[in-house]
Amino acid sequence: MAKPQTILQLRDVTRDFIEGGKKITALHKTNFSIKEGEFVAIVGPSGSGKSTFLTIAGGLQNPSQGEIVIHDNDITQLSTKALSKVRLAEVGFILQASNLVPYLTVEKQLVLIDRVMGRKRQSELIEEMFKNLGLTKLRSKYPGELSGGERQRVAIAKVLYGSSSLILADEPTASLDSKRAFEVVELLARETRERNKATIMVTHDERLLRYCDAVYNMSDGVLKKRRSHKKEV
Amino acid sequence: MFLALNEILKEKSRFILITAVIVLVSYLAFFLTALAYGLASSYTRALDSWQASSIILNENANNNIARSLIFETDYKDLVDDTTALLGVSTATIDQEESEDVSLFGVESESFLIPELESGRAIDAANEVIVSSELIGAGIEQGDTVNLQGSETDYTVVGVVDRSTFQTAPVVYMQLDTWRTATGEVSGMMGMRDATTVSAIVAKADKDYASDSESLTQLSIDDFVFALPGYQAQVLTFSVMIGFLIAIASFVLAIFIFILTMQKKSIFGVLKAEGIPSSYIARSVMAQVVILSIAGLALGFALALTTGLLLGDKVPFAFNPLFYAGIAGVFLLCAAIGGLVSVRSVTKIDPVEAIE
Repeated sequence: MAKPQTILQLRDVTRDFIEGGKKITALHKTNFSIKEGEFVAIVGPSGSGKSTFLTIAGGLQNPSQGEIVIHDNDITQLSTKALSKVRLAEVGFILQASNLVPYLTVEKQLVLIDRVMGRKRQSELIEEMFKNLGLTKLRSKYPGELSGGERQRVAIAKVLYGSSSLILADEPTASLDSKRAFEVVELLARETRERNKATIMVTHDERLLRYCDAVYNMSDGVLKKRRSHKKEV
Repeated sequence: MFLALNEILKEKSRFILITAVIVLVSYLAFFLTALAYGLASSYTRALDSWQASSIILNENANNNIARSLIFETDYKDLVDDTTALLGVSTATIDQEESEDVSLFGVESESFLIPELESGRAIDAANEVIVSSELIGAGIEQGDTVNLQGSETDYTVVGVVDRSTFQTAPVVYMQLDTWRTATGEVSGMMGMRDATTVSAIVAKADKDYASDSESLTQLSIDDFVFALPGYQAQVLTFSVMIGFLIAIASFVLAIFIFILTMQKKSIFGVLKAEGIPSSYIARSVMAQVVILSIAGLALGFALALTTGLLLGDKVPFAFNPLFYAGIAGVFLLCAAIGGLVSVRSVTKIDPVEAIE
């Protein structure tokens, strides 16, 4: 089997804000990388810099210093428009509240991606995805008619349907009960491995960490890898 | 288009309401324009079929045809194929419900008589051709009518389609008949001269009056604007309708802006996902255009239906040029409302949408 490719790399990345004339460091010098097929979690209290890390990794904002490399491309110096292209092609977000378009049916949420990317509808992939995620019966429903767990499953389907190699999930289970939360994360972990994606999940739910290949702690803008997290559970 | 159409399909009731606003606003603008234009053209409809370029009046008439009298000594050199003699006065038809009319004295084969809708041309004194409005007022072809103040019987031999001058239906008669009638009706001394006319209408773009001390020549447009009350009325209505359209367009633009702003958060998420601002902008504009065109079309249909239902009771006339203009202004304002909101959509920071 070929050696797994590195999908995302952060090299000496920092992020500072100026607030009230003072410099605040949201993210201290960070080095991080993730390979295809990996599912990692970042844990930490709110305000610790998790979201900053995620938005920088996803090309939504630029770091103050350092480099972000996605698939060997340094995206740090790209224009807003070029960044937007990289996000569309490489990065998929799964958000706390669902990021579905309220007036599109489940199936059309996926078709929208085809429209924007200017490609043909991937009917086979849609069917496969719906079958794996248990969405076949829900395909013509609107997000408003779905439960929280169903919505997150659609969000996962959406991310997997695009060409994204990097999946960034920000508290994807926040609005779910524990049973649904486990289901969703298990699904995400499985699809990550099967489809050779790289997934970073921000969470504060320690019970979910057993599905992850690695766990990082974020505290006051400092990212640290946990040793053998599986034993702690 | 994909987002625009799907949203309209999902949020039917909301979009029906929005379209209803556009329909009502455009209905109002279209309808009032048709009324104002109808009233304005009832001043001049008798003149429209002339396709003349100018009119020659007595210099002392202050451009008012009712006060203009010209005698043969002044006009004999002007008469040719491209000019026509015209006598104009007002009278009242004597019947149960008396009807004010404009009397037009014309030569028998004159181009001043519009095409006949029914009947035949005048070939004897005391024969008249009347405008179709009078048929609606109870006069039939073949009837004999009298004018108040005169004992003469006039026979209606022909009818022309809606020919009005200063809002009164026109009665066409021979010049001699006209002189007698006007003399009897108003007792005007000038009518005793057997050559009197009110004006000479000219088709050719030629100078007729600069050599004459007693004549003045003005274009048909200037003549119409000088008709008593015409200019004041047209200006008043134009300003009223202008303001209506300006304000309605503004309301429309604000409406579209609010509609788009409500969706700011979902656009932010789409941007975070890497969907280009241009795609979102196109979808917003597509929606604006779809809604506006649907609203304008329905508004136009409503105005048209109302006009047909009202029939001849009110002056109601469509001018495609005005309508295209109004529709254009509305579309433009809606598009501006859309563009302003598109601008704020492109400024959304996707980070905010995610956090």
